[in-house]
Amino acid sequence: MSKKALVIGGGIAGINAAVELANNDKLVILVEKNGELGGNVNDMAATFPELDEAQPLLDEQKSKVEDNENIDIKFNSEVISVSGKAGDFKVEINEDGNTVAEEVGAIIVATGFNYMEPNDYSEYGYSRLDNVVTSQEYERMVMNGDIKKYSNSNVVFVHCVGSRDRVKGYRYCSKICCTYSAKHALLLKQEVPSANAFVFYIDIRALGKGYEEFIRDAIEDYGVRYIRGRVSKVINKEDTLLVKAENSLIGNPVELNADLVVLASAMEPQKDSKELAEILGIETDDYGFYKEAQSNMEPVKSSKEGIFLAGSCTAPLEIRESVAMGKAAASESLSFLG
Amino acid sequence: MLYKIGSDQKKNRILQKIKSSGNDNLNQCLQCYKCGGMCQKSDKFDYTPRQILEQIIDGLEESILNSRAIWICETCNECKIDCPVAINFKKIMASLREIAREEGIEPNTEEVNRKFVKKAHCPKKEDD
Repeated sequence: MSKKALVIGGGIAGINAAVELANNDKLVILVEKNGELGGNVNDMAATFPELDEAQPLLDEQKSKVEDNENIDIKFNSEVISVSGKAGDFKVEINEDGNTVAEEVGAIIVATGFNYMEPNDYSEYGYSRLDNVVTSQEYERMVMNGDIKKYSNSNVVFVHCVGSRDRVKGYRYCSKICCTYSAKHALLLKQEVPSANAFVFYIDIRALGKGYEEFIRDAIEDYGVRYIRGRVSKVINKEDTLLVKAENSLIGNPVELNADLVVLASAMEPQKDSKELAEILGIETDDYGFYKEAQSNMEPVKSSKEGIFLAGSCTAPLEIRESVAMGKAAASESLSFLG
Repeated sequence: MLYKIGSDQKKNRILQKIKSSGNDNLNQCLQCYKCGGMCQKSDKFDYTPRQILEQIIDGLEESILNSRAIWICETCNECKIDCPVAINFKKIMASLREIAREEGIEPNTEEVNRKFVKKAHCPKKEDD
């Protein structure tokens, strides 16, 4: 008899894993900690490198799960214990306050990431200054039309807030902030053509198909000004913000008045990622991202047989790669589902 | 030296002049540093070509027009030939010398390319 599969996390990676399994006539239990599917993509206005609206794309993905009779979605739920072995796991789930026991053949972990709250960056004034926001907050401002009030204004985008920072953040590069900051600047220029966009960067890491061209288009066709130098300070000055940095290309300190400052905050592991790793018996790296069985050859296998990994719970990833991992994890788990 | 970035490019006189003299691809510069590495004269420059370009974009007029580099440039055109986005730096340098002369700025180096001295009274005739 065919075994059920358990997918933990209903973001874009988990959705794709669940749909792929359901399409192969497997029964899937999808555990989602929140009251809705979609995860971090719910906070996205548009995708890159094609500027498609993110919400219609996500709705299409959600409906594939919601309309699927092979998928049992458990909202407001979390996995509380796992025992047994590959092909024969016994799982306890807290479903909205009630404990439910299930037997599954394979588990796919797709718990995603968290945007770091840059509270330690007092030099940028986050949470102290009104017009200093995170990239996640900025996406919502694009969706609800709040950015429209920045006509004829200067908007500054700050790379690497919490990434590449051993002291206040993480040593790693969050990899996609370069491209999403270009997306943010482009969205500003499209929605509010009279606004000026400035991006401060250390170096530009456009690590995907079409990303380099996407960023160059922002610079060359939309006139987004890129200045090489990490922002040093954001100071409240009368009714505006003063952004201080060094233009390292000429070696001069530089200042700029800004009306809005957007911090590209790091993508970090979920706060409870290590607790879940304990429950599942899988390894994490030092940060709390889940560790692959072999980094090049086994990107979706966890350290434990029968438990697979998908999406940004393994490292900061873009949508495209999370989708691919979700489908790959589904495919590999089939051999444990009978 | 600390400088402030203005948001209005129209007020950036030097950028407008450089653009109107046929250099409209300044923002394609990748800041890859190839020009500064290959230039025969760049060890005598105060700013390498890409550094001058960055200053034009931010309108640092005084610093550019008083630089040695604009007079030392050999106009060999090698930097354009090997530039990955084909920025015509020879032409940019010619425009900068022209603007400097209009402003009454004299070369501040002994290393001036002799071609420019000869043509000092007739700057318009400088080779394109």
